[in-house]
Amino acid sequence: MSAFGGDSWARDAQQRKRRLDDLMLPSSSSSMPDSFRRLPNGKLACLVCPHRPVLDSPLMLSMHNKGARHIAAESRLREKELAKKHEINKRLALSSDASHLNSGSLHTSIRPTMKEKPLIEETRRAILEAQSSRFSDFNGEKVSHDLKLMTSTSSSDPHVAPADIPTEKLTGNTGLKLCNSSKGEFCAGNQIQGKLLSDWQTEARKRQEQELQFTASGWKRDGHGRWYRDENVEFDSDEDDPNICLC
Amino acid sequence: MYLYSLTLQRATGAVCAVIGSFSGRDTKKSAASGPAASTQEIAVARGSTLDLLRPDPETGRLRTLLSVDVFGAIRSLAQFRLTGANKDYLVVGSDSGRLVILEYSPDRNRFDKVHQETFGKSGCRRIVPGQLLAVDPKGRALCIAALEKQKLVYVLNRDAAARLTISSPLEAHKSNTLTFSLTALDCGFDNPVFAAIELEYAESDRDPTGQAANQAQKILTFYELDLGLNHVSRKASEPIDNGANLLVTVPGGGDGPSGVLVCCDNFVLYRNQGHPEVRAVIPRRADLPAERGVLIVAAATHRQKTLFFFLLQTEYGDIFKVDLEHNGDTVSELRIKYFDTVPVTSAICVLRSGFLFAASEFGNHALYQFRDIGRDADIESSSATLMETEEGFQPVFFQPRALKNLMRIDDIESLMPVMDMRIANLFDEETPQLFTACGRGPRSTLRILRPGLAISEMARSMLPAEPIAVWTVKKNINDMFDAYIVVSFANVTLVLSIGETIEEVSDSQFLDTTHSLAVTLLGEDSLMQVHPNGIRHIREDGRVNEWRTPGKKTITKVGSNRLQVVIALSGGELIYFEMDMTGQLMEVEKQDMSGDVACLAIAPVPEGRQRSRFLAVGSYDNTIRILSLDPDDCLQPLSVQSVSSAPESLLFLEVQASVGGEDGADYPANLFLNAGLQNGVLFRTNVDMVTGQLSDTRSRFLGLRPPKLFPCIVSHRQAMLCLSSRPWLGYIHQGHFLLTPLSCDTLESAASFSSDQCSEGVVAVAGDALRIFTIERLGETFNETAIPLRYTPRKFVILPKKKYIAVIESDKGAFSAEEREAAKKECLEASGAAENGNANNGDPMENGDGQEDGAEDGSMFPDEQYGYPKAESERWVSCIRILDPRSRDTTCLLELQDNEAAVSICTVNFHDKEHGTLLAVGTAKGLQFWPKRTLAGGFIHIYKFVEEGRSLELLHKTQVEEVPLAMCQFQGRLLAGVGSVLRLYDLGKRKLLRKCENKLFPKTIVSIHTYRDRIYVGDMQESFHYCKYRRDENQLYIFADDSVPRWLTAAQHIDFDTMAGADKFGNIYFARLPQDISDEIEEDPTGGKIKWEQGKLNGAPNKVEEIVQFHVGDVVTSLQKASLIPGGGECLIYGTVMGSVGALLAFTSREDVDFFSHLEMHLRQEHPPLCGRDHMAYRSAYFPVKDVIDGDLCEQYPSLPADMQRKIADELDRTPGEILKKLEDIRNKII
Repeated sequence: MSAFGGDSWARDAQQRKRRLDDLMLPSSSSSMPDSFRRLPNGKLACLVCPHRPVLDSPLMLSMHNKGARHIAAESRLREKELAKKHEINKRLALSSDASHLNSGSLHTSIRPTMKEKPLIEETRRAILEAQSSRFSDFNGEKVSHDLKLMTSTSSSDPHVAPADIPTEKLTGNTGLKLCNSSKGEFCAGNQIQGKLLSDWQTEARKRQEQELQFTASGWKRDGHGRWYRDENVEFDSDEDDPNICLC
Repeated sequence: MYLYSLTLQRATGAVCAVIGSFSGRDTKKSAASGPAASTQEIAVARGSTLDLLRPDPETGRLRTLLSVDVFGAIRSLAQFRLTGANKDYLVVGSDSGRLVILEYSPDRNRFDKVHQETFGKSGCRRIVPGQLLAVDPKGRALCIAALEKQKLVYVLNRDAAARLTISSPLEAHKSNTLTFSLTALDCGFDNPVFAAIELEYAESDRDPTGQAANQAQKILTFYELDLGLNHVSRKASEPIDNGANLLVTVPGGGDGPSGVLVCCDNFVLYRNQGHPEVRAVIPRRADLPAERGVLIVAAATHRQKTLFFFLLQTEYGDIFKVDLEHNGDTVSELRIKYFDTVPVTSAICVLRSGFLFAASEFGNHALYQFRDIGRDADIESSSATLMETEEGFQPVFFQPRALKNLMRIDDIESLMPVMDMRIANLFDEETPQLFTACGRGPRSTLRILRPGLAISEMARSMLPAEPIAVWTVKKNINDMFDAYIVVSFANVTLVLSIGETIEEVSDSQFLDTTHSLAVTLLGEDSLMQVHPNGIRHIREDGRVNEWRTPGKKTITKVGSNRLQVVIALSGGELIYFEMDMTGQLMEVEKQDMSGDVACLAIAPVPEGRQRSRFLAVGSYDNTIRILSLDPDDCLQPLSVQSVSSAPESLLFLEVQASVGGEDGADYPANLFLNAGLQNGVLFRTNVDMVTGQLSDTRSRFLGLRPPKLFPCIVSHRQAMLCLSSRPWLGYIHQGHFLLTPLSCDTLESAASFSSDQCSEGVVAVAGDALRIFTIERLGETFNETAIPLRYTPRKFVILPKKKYIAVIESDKGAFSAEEREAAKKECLEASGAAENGNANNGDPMENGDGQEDGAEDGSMFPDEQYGYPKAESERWVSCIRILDPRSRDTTCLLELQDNEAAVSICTVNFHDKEHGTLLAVGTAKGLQFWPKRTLAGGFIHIYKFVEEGRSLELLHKTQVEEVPLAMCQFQGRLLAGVGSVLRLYDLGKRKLLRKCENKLFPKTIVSIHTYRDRIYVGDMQESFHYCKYRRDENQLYIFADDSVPRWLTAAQHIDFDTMAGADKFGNIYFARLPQDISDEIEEDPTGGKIKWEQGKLNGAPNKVEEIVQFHVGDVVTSLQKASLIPGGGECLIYGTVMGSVGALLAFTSREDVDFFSHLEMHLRQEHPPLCGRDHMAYRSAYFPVKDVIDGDLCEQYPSLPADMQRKIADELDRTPGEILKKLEDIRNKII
């Protein structure tokens, strides 16, 4: 079968893959509506980084998006936006003293959408908040590059990190629970939710740290997620077994 | 990055030394007492420096006349004298491929190059001459030889103007021949003959069976230079003992039988052409194992009119005196008599003045005085009594004994070899201390180096209260010594008279009921005391004139010299007094200053003048004024200088004109005004002798307290003591003005002190103590405190919390302490000595094995001097020591058993384990280097600290398959380089648990540094490898390495991307990971792992770049990043095998780089190095020098002639003064 032939499955597959890539791309677009731009030649330019790097493929873009520089630029951008928002709010608040009407109109512009799907909005906002807080957390912490990498992949892109299935599940479930529990009175439940969320996060992080500790001390995982001992590594007689510890 | 390299402490070891009278001066003594013996000096080669030393017969100390950096490796020295001359020339064989003949010029105190003859390539090569040097005793010819093949003979002569001439070289080459030793025969005025021990290897090379190699025979060859034909011929060659290693000339030409002494393994032979061999056995130490031979390593000849003898030293340190019984040219007997034992030397020199200089191979050098020349009966072997049995010749045995013929009178400190170095401020002093592990075997020490001069305290006495000030005065200007010490307290003045003892006197006529402001000698023989209420002038005949202050004013400040006095009254009035012809103190002038006077000083009276012209007045408005004292314009201002803070103390320092001389360079007379400012800065400026204008100001921060300045005398010259938070001494040494700290506590006030016992001392008050001390070893940068160790120190670490030091020591071929004790006891019992309690009671805590009490015993001697008894060469002894550097006590000493030797040490904190800080020690068991490197096993010992860190307890011991040469803590675990494997260990219950490893390192890991998650690994042969550890995969991987194979000897982490390293060829280099690659690695989520799997050039995918490159010319053994001055920038400090300490400082401005690189360039052209090596070529010996400016060369600028200085300064668009200031500034940034 010729690679150039019209009925080649390869081209089809390639197109399918490209489509998939394209679909996967805007994953970060929810938070940043235009973090990149597709150039006429098919390449992608990151709009977050100030020097506008041009990347060949969506995969490379996604890799770039995980780089320290990009993350730093992103947080800087976000900070700037936040500052801008803050400034606007402040101005509005100042002006609202003069005219209540203005502020009221702003609120109403948000509220209608909220009132339509209050729960979903609430959850989304909580997740967003959690994500942003987590980002800033890691930027501040910077314990080790590897660690940061692991956690950031798991948090922002759950599809890529197979090791974190339980973590993801956990957040998914709790998200649902949250919806149920805080049905109706979301104004009061807001703080509790935030607290719960951060609890889950710390728990998840702790668990990750534990897992890392086990890998670092020579445990490995098989295809079923079970832990086994690396034969090149020595263990103490009374060492903890992650199969028991992490269950 | 641009660096400035500066040697802080020149090499202290010695390669070779020769004695001669290089200055050609007659001693003052001998001029009076008959035969014209000229002074003798010792020329010592210390790697790349050439020193000229002279023993001072009065003090019994060796003084360094001159020390000059030659920027090349000196390999051999010889001295010769033309017939009839009274001055010796120095011949230098170096790596320059040139023969250099130097002449010492005592007037200018420098070496002048008389001849420089090029004969070959530069570098130490086996076929290029330079290693061996021999000069005809009559100074008619010299021979310079290579280790192989080449020998060149130069004919020396003189021209009509009695200048030395040198001919073109005559060749005496022989291919395929190795030369072991070369000397010239003393054959009077016959043709010069050179003798050499040679070995031909042509046949052994061709014969693959090895039979020819086994039958190879050393030969003694005589080369004759026919002066008539101008031709060298190989006159005779005779087979000789295969153990021959050294030739010593035997006097001839009427003084002796001529010929040579051939020193062989176990024997000394006398050989001459056509003379039968005379052989005698070298006596052996009784405890020497049978398989060990005895080699002679150093020799010296002593000649007098009627007698000559040789002193030969063996490799164990024993010196033998060798005599020849001869009748005309026939030698009938050769006698070898035990003389004394001193540490093994690389050269011994016998001086005619009765001294012996021993240039030690390792550790301190020594100067000995002869008490006898071995005339007493002692163990002796002779050619006449030589017995040959079936097993060979009958040996003669002896026991070393205490020194009998020699007496040690001076020690010259030597750090050689610096094994390891750390810089830390363990004593909480102003500047950090350098801790260096030095020496070898029983002479090893841990030395604490402090920047500054050492003082030796002669007396300290307590006073009843805390004094404010101290002075010393003479009674008469012509007196040699001071008469009184006057101490002023808050309201009392105490007068002490100096005699045999120092005691209080009351008949001195000084007013003792008030405190004093100044006490000096006035005029010829009268004394003056200035107190707040007046001036008391005490005439020689006892009359006292008292001048009282007008009204209620008091005297606040005084300035005076021999004839002039100025006082400042409260309110700012100056009154000027002068001494008239009758010896009366007369008021001359009054002047009101605008405000209070902060300090006063009058310049000393110039030679042949009636008065000094300058008065300096410091005011609280931050100015210093120079006022005139001339009768014409008395107390009129001449110039004003504004300073950064109010002056506290002023001092004029007069530098008398010098035309060189033994320890001075050419410089004109000069007057310097020094001011101690309140912000702790010493401000120094030049005062024009005619106009009083101030110029060329320099300032230096001395300490937190405002410096108080006091005049004193150092080596017969005016010097200055500056008392800030620590004392400093400003003095002139070898033509340079040096300002160096003194190593002592804060002093309150000081004055020079001179008495019978101490001709140049300082008396000072500090707290309530009166201290008298002398300042020693002028010109040195560091003063040292030595703590003896037992074996060769290998490495040490500083335990941060308790500030203790943990040292590992190991030695090969020695007995352990217990075995030695046992052997000694046995020996004692055998010799029937009663156990008088002197026998070492086996205190395990003693530092070295220095039994201070043992020396008097006769059979017990310090091992430092005699060396350890030799064991089989495969035996290792080793110990781990915890040392408290403050008290210098060893708090714990663990001797390792079973032939184990400690090789690496580090402290480690395992995460979440209960033990806290642990000590990890890597050891090797049964390590052998020959015939092949083998090993019984390697271990990592983990020790727990007990008794508050004073002692150690073994936790467990883990066997590893190779030698663990490097260890380091990393993320709460232990990283160890085991052979070529990098391994991560965790602490287990019974042993260390291997958690992760990487086997991809090329040869052997010798250094590990960590920073954040990066690991910098140094390989023995392959430079640095940058690694990362991934926790999630539990994997170590290399992401960058060096493309240059470097034999790493020392490493230091500089920053995230940069490592500094030193290789075994004497280069220092910096390797840096390029910024973009570093960023890429840090950003890449795989951490460069994908790329790592690709690799490049059989190594890691990324390569580090070498950004700095410099040839030090000496093997660097340790690198440390530290700042030696308070608040200064960090520099890289290195220590070398030859015992030198140097620093590399990074430049902070481009302008400085430009300036110094231009200065360096000009100096390279105008002042080429002394031994003939091109400076640029030397600094680029292995790799082209990159971005390093040689400060040692730049600092030779002041030693250039004045016109040359000016020429260079013109080209740099500056004045010589500015250049000197720049040089001083940059030195002050380092130390």
